[in-house]
Formats: sequence, C-alpha cells, structure tokens
Amino acid sequence: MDGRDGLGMAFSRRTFLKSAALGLGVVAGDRAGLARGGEVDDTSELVVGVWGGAIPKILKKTVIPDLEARYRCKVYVKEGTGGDRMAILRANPRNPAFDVVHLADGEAIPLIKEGILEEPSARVIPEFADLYPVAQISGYGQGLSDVGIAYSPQKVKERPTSWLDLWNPAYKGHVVIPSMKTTQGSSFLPALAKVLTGDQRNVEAAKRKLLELKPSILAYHRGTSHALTMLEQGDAWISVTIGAYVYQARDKGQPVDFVRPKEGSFSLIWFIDIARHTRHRTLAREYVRLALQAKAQRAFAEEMYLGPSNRKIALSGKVAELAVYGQQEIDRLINLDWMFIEGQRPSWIQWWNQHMV
Amino acid sequence: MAGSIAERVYHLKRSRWSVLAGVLPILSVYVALLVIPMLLLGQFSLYRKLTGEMGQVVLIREVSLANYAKFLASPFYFRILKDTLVMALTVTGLCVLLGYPVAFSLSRARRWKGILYLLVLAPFFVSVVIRTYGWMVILGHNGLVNWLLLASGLVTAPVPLIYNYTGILIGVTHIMLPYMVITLEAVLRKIDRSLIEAAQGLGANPWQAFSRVIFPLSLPGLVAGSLLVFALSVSIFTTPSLMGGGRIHLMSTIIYEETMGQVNWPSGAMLAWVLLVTTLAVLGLSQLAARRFEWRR
Repeated sequence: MDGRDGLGMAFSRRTFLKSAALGLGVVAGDRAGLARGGEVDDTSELVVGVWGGAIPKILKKTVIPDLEARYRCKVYVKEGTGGDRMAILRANPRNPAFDVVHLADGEAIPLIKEGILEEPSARVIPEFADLYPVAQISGYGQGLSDVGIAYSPQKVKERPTSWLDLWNPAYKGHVVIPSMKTTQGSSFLPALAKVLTGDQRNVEAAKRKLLELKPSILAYHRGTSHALTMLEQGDAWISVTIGAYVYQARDKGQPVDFVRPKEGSFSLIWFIDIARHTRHRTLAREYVRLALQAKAQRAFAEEMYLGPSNRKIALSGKVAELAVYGQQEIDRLINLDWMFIEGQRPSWIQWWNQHMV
Repeated sequence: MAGSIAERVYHLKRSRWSVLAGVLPILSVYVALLVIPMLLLGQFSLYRKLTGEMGQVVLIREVSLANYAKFLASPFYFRILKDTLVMALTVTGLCVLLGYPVAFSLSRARRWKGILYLLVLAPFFVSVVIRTYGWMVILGHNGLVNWLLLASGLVTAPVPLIYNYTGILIGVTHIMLPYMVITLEAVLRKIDRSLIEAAQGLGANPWQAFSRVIFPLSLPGLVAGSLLVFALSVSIFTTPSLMGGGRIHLMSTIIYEETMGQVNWPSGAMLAWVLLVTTLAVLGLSQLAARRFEWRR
C-alpha cells in the first residue's frame, strides 16, 4: 500500500508517488509470489469471515468442528457483511484479518485482481475440478441459489409469474427491491436489462424501467432477512430476493412464497476465498476442501436449500426440487457476467444514489 | 501575604502543570484515536480513486483538491448536507420541546425521582438496533400507531410513518431525548427554589415566575443540551439507515456508502471532513450567538 510494501526495490518513494497509479495492493501482490518461500504456515488457528444467520450455523456443525478435530486448532468466526470483509482486507492486505472469507457472486473478482485474495485452482483444492463452471468464477463456489420474487400470499392474491408483475399498480407503496449496494441489487439491474432487451449490458433500459418503479417502492432492502422482516410485518407485499432464504422462512411458518419468474430467476452463488497472504494456509485450504465435500454440501442443501456446487453431490425429494440443483437448472437461470458487473458497480451505485434514493 | 512574585509565578506554573497532568491521559487518547486518524483521513481526502475494468480499486496518491471540487460542484451532495443539518436541527427542536417539561418535572420530583430517572435512561439499556426494530413494529402499516389512528377514525388509510423522513425524525429524537433531559435537569435542579417564592412574593404569577426567572436561568442547560443533541444527531448512522429504508440519504449514510459500497475511500474521507467542518462551524456560531445573548442581558 505504500513504500514499505517492498516497492522501494524498484521505485524510490518519490518517483513512486509521482508515477502514482497503484492499486490497493495490485503491485504489492505481484511481488508476494517471490516471498512465498519463507512464508509462515501456522496450524493453530484460522479466522473465517462470513455473514450472520444460517450459513455460520451450519459451518459450526460441519466444517469447523471437523477441521478443529483434525488439526487440534481453533477456528474463529467473525460475522459481518461482505462489504465489511472486503474493506478490512483492503485496509491491510499484507497482514490479513481473515484467512478465509465468504463472499457472493463476483465480489471477490476485484480482490483477486488486486492480489488480496488467491486465484482459485484445482492444484491446491482438488475438489475445485468437480465444481459446476458457474461456481468456479470468483473463488470456490460453495452453494448455489437464485433471486426471484418473494411475496406475501395474504396481500398478493394472484401468484406473480413475471418480473414485470412488480410494476403492477395494485402493489404501489408495498414493493421492496434490493439496494444497489447489495450483490442482489447490482445483479438485479443487468438481469432486468436481460429481461427487457435480451442483453444484460443494456442497463440504460433497465434504469429507465426502475425509475418507473420508484413511486411503488416502500423501501430498499439490505439483504434477504431485511426483506423478509418487512414482508412479515405486512408493510412489504412483494419483493425481489433469494429463494433459498424464503423457503427457510416458509418452513418456519412465515406466510411467504417464492416465484421463479417465467423469464428466469437470476443466479446468486456463494463463494469462499482464501486470503493471498494468510499465515494459516494449510488450515485455510483444508477449510475450503471440507466445505466442498459431501457432508457440508448436503447440510447446506438440506437446511438452507442451497444447491450443491459440487457436481458429484446428488439430491432428491423436496430439496432437489426447491434448490438450484444440477446443470440443467443452472442453464435455466439468468447467469450474469460478474466481471462486467464489478467494473460497473461503482457507477451504478452513483446513479442509484442520485436517482433512486 | 507571603511570597515574592517568583513564588507566585512558581505556584501558577505548578497549577498549570497539575491541570495538564490531569488532562494528559485523556488528551493523549484523543490525539491518538481521534486527532491523528482525522488528520490521516484528511490526507486521504486529497487522493483519488479509479475503478479498474473488473472493479479493481486503484488509488492515486497525488495530492489534489479534486474531491472537494466534486463536492462543491454537486447539487446532490449539497442536498444531502442540507437534509442532514435540517434533520439535526429539527431533532434538536423536538428534544427541547419534549425534553424541557420532562426535565422540569424531574428536577421538582421528590418521591419518584429514582424511578423517573430510570425511565428517562431506559432507552440506553437497549441496543440501538433493537430499539429501531421496535419502532419498525410500532410504526409499520400494521403497527400500533396506525392501528390506533385507523380505529379512532382519524385516518382512513395507514399513514407512512417509517422508511421515510418522518421515521428518521421519530427514531433519532427518541435516541437523543435522554441527552437533552439529563443535561437540562442538571441545570434546573440547581436553580434555587426560593427564587420562585421571591418572585411570587413580588407579585409574579406562576407563568411569570417561570418565564422571567426559571427559564432564563435554565438557558445554559438548554444551550448545552442542544449542542450535544445537534452534534450527536448530525453524525448518527444506524437509526437513519434502518428507519430510512435506504430511501433517504444523510451525510453519515452517504459516507458509509462511498467508503464501503464504492470503495471510494478518498471521497468518503472528503465527506467526513466536510461534515466535521460544517458541524464545528454550526457549533462555533451557536456558541458565539449564545455569548452575544448573554452580553445583552
């Protein structure tokens, strides 16, 4: 991040400041490979960064106890948002506060390019080769899910079928869509572009359509649990959010249902990434491997309706029907170009702040 | 009186040193954890951020005022700054209106004082997030308030009380009220009750005794409480971000978004400095105004 990162070898601090362009760790990352030889690999502890809720609960029943037993180590779980994790890693890439982070969709792509997270590879994680291609893009895909329409059957009498049903004037003041700063939100825009024009890059059309939806909006949600809370309280009637979480809520008795619109729901893939400069590399890799193996994959499917990312895992029954399961079903989703999204996201957020808020 | 000038100077110096020794621990904490980080933030606000093709963050460590120029040229940022200041001022006003009667009765209370104090402080016992979720339940379309309004026939359709500006005002006022009440009560309690008797003895009715004697004497508390409430509400984050439903931007929420959402640390740092300077300016001006007011009297 500054002259201390070993850049002094090539540049003096001053020419460096003058020549100036520097990623938060991009250049430093390239040098890191050289330093690998003398790297520390401590197997006494591992710090994992993940969201709150169901995911850490299942990890604490599967991956974590197995890893702790095998290595007699201690795994620390720090819960927070993906944005928090990314900011914390960027603040100190050479001395990462997390060894392993859970991120969604393409969130990890910029950090991999910046040299903060490791490029995924079957060389270090053999299970990587067994993952569906969509789960190989920005780390080690750990579970598959999709975003469609969640609604309250008490308020919305006719089951929605299309994304365009969100624009139904009957729902005015009760529509909740994801905020642009969430991964769901930054995927919704290109997904809508695809629905409207057939081209996910034609976001201008989607922006115009979203502006038409603005008068119908109750609030923008910051994640599925936020959307579900508003649906439960009756303020929200219809929302755009993750199917897997809606099914969990329905199982717990909340009157809520989920629809995959006829134009296709859009994918939301859950990834795990390893910090490039972790000091606990063996544990980090083993953690990822355990998460991609049958025990954890099944637990995530059965308890959370996350489709397995590992092609070798077979499901049956209700879980197979509701989760995003198998290549056929993946192909039916609107699969988004996360490289494109990550490059555009900052400008979309800016647009959002100025026009949708 | 014993002592040469040298001795007196020595004593003066020693007392200054003892004052310094007293404030040194807290001062060093302030410098280490507030002043230095704010200066670093100021340095960051002079840099720029670019976005790579795949969202890589590229920091340009060249000193320029580009971020500040962006702020000055943007009606969008100005509107947010204005909304933030108006919100903080409105909350301060509401806290004065709601807090003064409470503080006054509290300062006069004898038997139930402990319990009343506890009630005023009660909001502090629950975390901000939980309190805010409580408001979501009470203020929602199917919440208690709308149910009462509908049942009483005052309205025919639920009133939107949350996920908008009203929601933010209610939530923030609730959180700030204890600061106002406690500050005011401390001043009101110290006002000698015999002053009221004296005023009444001189023919003042209760209202006159209050408006001409008590109220002016309570002004320092009112000013202190207002400054405290204003300074805290101008930068409050959790409640507006939850109660605003992501539809209202204030300085704190936009700083968070630029820093975390867009990973634009320089721009976030710039906004933090703008907020700091504006807040200090408002506080400074009100101090000046308060001093003027005192001279006139």
